[in-house]
Amino acid sequence: MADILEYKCPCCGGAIQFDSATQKMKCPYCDTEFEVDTLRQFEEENIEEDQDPSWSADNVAQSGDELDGDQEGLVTYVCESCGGQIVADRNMAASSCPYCGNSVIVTKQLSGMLRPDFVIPFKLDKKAAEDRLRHHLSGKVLLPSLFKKESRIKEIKGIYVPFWLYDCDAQADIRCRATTINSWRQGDYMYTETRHYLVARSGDIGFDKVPADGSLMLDDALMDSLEPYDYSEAVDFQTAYLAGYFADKYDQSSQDCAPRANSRMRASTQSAFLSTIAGYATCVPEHMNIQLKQGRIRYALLPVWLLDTVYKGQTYTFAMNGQTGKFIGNLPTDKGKAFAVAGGVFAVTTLLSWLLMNFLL
Amino acid sequence: MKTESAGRRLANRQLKLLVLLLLGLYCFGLCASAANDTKVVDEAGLLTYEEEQELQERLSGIAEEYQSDVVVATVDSCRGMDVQSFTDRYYYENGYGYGPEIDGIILLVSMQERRFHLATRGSAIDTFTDYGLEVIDDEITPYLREGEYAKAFETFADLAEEFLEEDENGLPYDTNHVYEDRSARLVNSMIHFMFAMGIGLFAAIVTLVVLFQQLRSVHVKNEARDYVRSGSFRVTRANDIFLYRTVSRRKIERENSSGGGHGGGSMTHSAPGGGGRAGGRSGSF
Repeated sequence: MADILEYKCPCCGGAIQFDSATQKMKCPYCDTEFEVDTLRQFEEENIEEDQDPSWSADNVAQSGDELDGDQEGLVTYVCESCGGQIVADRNMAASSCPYCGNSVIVTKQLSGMLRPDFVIPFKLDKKAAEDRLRHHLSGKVLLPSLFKKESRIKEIKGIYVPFWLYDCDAQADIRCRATTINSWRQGDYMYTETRHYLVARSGDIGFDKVPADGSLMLDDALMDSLEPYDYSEAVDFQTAYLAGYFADKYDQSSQDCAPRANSRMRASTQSAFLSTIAGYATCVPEHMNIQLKQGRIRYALLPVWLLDTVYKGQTYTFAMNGQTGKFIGNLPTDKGKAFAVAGGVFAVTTLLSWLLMNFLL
Repeated sequence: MKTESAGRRLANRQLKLLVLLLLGLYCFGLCASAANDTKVVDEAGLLTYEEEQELQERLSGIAEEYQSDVVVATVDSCRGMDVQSFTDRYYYENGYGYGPEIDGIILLVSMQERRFHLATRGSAIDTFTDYGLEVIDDEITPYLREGEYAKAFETFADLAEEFLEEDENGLPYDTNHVYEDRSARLVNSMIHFMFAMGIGLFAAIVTLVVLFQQLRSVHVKNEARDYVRSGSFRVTRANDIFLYRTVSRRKIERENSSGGGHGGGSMTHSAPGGGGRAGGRSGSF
């Protein structure tokens, strides 16, 4: 008597049934046989849906204090042209919009700005940023020769960029399909046996202060590239730190930015798990589930120098980590130089390898 | 006066001696260079006069250059002998070959049996190995079969020269150093060049990518490795379930070496004259 049990075949996905003759589960489609116990365990390990940490749950701590602009002496400057909003000291007369360069700026009362949990103060000044730019331009073979000479700095400004920092204690489960491969020779045939495994791991992992910038105006890649910051130098927020600098007001909420932090944590959790799985020829992750046990979102202002330079009518934006001095910014390519270098390398290598081949063969 | 004539006589005798000596040297030199200058013997009348002259010139040039005889002979029949013994004797009895080992190769075609034989003697045994003779056989048999004798002998001359040259360069053509005709060599060197261009292209691309990367410093971060709280990662449960196995099999291809039993070199048999050994290969057409 065949028991009717609805299991799915781990090999082909077809509905599998109990075969009374062999006392095993046998797939009628691909003829693969399984122990009953194997299938039961397989079903238990079957995580159906990938799950990322949810940051809106009750177990996520987040302070909601608002800054009182009047009391702190802060105002918002709103650019009439691009709509960008920056926060600054009332005494700081902003002359142009740091995002679009337009000079039509309206001063407004600051409202709806969260009090930052902490701030990393600027450690490097404007001079350092100019030096680093010069250094950034040197030693780049394919940079147009005139770029260094002709590009001029249009604007340099120090901005405190709003970042959401995600702390997370999570329980993670991962399920992988793995194989071992074994081959041997028998007579005139080479046999290859592939053994298929379901590899499941569960564990705990914690992340501290995974950053995601909350500014729409600033390019995410640009801000990501400035990492890492040394959080040990972070201090409690004081309005005094803003003197002489602009501060950006976040326009992406902590919920908006969470997916970016989540995908980064997911990638790192996966590689952490995979590094513990050994002894298989292949191991392909199928599903992963990260459940937030305890979370915390903090709002921080991190120091960034932004430099705009103009070369042949085009603006190139560079950024420097105001704490560590890490300098980034994509540069244009001199197509003529690239062509010459590639052609030269091609010709020389072809000739050399051809001569070498004729010599050896 | 007397002493003067005596002096002249002496000078005369010295001159005669010198002439005799030179004559002797010349004769000796001739003996050493070639025993028989007739490199083409067309008894069966397969070639025109012009073809014969041309071939004769070509073969004696090759023979002179490499100091190894190259002979083409055509006969009506082997007079009841097998073509190998007939050729061996023909070569020896007509005084072919260079040096004491009578170095050289002969292609003898016998029309009655429609058979030909390639015989090698002395150093030519190593120049034209069994493999080399097979190559020559393969090249000339089609022409002989078609009756294009001039073309067959011309091909023989070309190949003999190429083989002699390769031997002089240090490594004769053999199973470990196979002969390629001109078109194969051309194709081969073109493949080499394309391969070299491939390497060049790869190097150029790698260089460009590296140099281009210098200009790019803005990248989206896709992982949070730096933010994993140290010591927080802990695997609490591990479960490895064996599901099923699949077995596939593949037939092992055996490498079957073509071209008969032996590897390189030449098989020899005894033959009259020289070192007493000869290599060779016979064929029908």
